Amino acid sequence: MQRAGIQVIAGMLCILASLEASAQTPGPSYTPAQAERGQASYVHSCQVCHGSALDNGDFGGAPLNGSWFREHWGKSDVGALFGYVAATMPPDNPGGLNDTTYADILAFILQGNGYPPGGQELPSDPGALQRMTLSR
Amino acid sequence: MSANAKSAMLGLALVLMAAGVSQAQSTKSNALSGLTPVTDAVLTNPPPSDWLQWRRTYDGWGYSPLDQINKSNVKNLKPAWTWSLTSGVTEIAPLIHDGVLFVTNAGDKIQALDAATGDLLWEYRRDVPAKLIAEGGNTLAKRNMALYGDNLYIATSDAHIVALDAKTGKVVWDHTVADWNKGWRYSSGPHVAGGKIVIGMSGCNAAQGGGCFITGHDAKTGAEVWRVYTLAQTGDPNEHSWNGLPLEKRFGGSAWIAGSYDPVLNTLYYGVGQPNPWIAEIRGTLPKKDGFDNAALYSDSTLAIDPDTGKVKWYFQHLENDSDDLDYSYERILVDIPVNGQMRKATITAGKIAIIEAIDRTNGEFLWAKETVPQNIVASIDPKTGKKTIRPEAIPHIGQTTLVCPANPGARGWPATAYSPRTQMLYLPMTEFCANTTPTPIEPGQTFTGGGRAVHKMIPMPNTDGNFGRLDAVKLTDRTQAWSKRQFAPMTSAVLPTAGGIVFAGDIDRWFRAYDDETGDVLWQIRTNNAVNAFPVSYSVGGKQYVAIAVGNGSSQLRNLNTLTPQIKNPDGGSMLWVFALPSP
Repeated sequence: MQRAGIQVIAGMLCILASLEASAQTPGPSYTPAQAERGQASYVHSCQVCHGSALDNGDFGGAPLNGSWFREHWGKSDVGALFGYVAATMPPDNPGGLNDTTYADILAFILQGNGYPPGGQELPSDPGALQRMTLSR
Repeated sequence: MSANAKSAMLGLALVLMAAGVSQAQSTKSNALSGLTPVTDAVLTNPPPSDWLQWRRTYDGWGYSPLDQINKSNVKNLKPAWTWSLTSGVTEIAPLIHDGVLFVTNAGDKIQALDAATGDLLWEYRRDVPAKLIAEGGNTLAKRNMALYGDNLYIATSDAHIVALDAKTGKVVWDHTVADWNKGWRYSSGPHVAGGKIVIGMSGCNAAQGGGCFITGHDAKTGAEVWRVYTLAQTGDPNEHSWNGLPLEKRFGGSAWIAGSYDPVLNTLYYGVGQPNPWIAEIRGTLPKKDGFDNAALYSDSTLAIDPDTGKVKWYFQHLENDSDDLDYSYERILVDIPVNGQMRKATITAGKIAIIEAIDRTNGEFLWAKETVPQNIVASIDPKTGKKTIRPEAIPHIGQTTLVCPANPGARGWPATAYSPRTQMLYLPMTEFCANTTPTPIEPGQTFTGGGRAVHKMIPMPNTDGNFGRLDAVKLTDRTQAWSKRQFAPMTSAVLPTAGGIVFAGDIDRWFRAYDDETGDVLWQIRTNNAVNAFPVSYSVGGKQYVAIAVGNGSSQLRNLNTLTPQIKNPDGGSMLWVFALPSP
């Protein structure tokens, strides 16, 4: 009985925790103006590999939209995506862009994947980004 | 200082400035006034001092007959002058005629400079659409120009050909060849063959069914005289080679590197690029359908063209149904060589696999092939026909990962090979590497006509020492490897052999070097300010020999190679033309 009670309480705590987590992990926020800035940086730094339509690059970059993006990033958070991009891209100069530029480029990619814009720009602060889920 | 004294000083300064301007103008007009017309006879037999064509001569050798700079004194080579270029892609081949050097800047800015001093003589700036400027990379590259008659002929990023007066830079005519809004692009430029201005189109993957084309134009007006399509059209005897795909679903065949010309045979030789999309399964030429062939003609071929009429005399397909983006658009070197004891008129090329292939340029007959870098694509080559058997394991399939060596930027790219009659050797700048290639599925309902649609994870060649760069010398008379130099940094410039016994070449790590043409020993080197990424040329003015090379960071191929060596950091900007000479005695 005592054990069952603990399990119930533990289960309730889990539900509460998950409710709290979902309350703290909203979708990403970015602005259209930021995505436009991001597109300019994308054209300069990313387009040669990933293409003008995010999935038609001539030099072997992975698709940044569609099922490929969903399968690789759809269950993740923006912090993980930001961390990956900022650490490895562009591959001829990994980490060579400013954090705000990476955030702008991510805003452009999120826009291209149909994530709706919000009232706030996508930040470059890792903690804030980790609280934004790509799951939808 | 009193007001009067200041006024006097200011007046003197103005007088001196005025004198300076007039002096400069006088010098400029002198340099330009010495320009003589470039006739057919001059192009056939150019003076050693000039570099009149992309690879200097019709035969594409890329060789300078100058020998003032030689093996014993090249160690003393010093910068004579430099000239900053617009930041971005270089990939350029300056032309030099009668002491005037013509140079292309990224984004279609052309300049005439005094070839001895680097003084600006005139400048042509084109109003390139902002969208194309933003794209950067290959779009803004213009690998070659042409001098003919009194004009300098250039291609533009918005798919025009323009004739400029070589003495003034003023537009003589401007001819629209295609609509850039539909994806057509020029990344190289025009050249001369049989009195025609000839140019190959690129960008034929952006929803342009039917493939690319090569056009011949009237030199006086720009009017198009003929057009050769690079992919089999409706009614072509080889139309069946597209696995039943209708014309509007045949893509690719960019002719993005200038051709060569044999004035005796009056034949133009042009390379054709790969079919698009690159992956045959996505393109629709695999799996093969009953009743059709799937070689995808005339992709990855050499076309021999009559420059008077545009009639294709013969073709030779180097690679059937390419599924690895193994382009064959590169330079054709026309040279007469002994084959089995008989002299043959050959055209020599190497595609991205860097297999050297010799074809009889009179009739398209296969002569021989020689491998250079390790590769895992071609299992065998028929010694009679040249037909390649492709390893099935090297054909990528959707959703699967395939190791492909070399990777799709190519063991060789646009940096041209060169031939020296001094050594009878072909010199090849190369990179050894591979890619794990994973074609990605097309989304339901989506049409894809681009190139890639595959993730290419580039890696070092397995089981090697980790070096990427390689410069080879191959004796064409007996096909032996004379020497091979390997290094960490990928080679990123074309090569320049000279009568002085030197081969000039450069790499992604900013080094520009002079090699002994017989041994490959490094005789001189200089660290420049950016990746060495152009065609080195040599010329002379007033009896003094110069060597010129452009450096810069912006080429698509360069950036791809840099992903192999991200520890090599180059500046974003800082494109520059370097010109070297021996110190005056």
